[in-house]
Amino acid sequence: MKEQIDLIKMFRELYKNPSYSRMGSLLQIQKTRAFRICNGHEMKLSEYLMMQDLINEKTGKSKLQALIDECLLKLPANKIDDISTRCQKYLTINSMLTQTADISITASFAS
Amino acid sequence: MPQLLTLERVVLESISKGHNRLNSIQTDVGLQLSLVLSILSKLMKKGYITLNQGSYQILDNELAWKKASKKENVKEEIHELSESLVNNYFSNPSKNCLKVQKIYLSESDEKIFGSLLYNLEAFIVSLRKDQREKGIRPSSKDQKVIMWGYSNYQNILEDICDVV
Repeated sequence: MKEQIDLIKMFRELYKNPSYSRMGSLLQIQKTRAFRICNGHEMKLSEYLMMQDLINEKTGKSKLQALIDECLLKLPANKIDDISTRCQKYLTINSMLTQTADISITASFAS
Repeated sequence: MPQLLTLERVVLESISKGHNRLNSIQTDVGLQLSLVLSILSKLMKKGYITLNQGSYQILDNELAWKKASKKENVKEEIHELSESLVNNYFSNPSKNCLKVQKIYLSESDEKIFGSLLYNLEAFIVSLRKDQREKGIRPSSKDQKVIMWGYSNYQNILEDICDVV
């Protein structure tokens, strides 16, 4: 459920808090279904994958993955280390900052 | 992560200056309380500090400090600082300072330049001593981060090309 909550949060941020109607249209589901999954109902796999694809489109994630593959093929080990050190650093700081954010999101979903 | 993040370093600096209580550390570093708690927790796990009756103390953990002082790890810390220094300048040039110059220095020019840098360092050392003697204890967050250095342009270009 945490993965679903995180995914919906990212989707809402990227699509600028869409209405349930727009969300339903993007995910090709009824707006009432969109309301239910935003309020704790478990998503179907197809809905989850569709939402993931919509997020990837916005973030260019698939481009990033292709770039990483190319880096792994072409760059020397020391440069790969630099990239992974940098990514690790961003993730560490992100986890320090989002630990408290999790508390407020859980509270908002519980209410 | 073996190296200390700047966020972790500033909290350690705060504790070493005598800010041992959570609220005191938070006021000194100017970060959100929850973030400071998170950083303190990470520092305890890494073995840099300990908590005793609500008071944080630096631990004499040779292994942890040796790791943090390793050349590669210090390099990463400085990378982080310099990146933020550049970001800060470009987001607010009127409140920050950044100068980059490319110039040929003859041997004598380099000696003059070296002595100017030496004077700069001496100024900062004397300022620190002066503040200590006068009991001036500014908050960590109110300090300036100052960085200087130079290198041969060719060496820089070679480093940039180090991708094969």
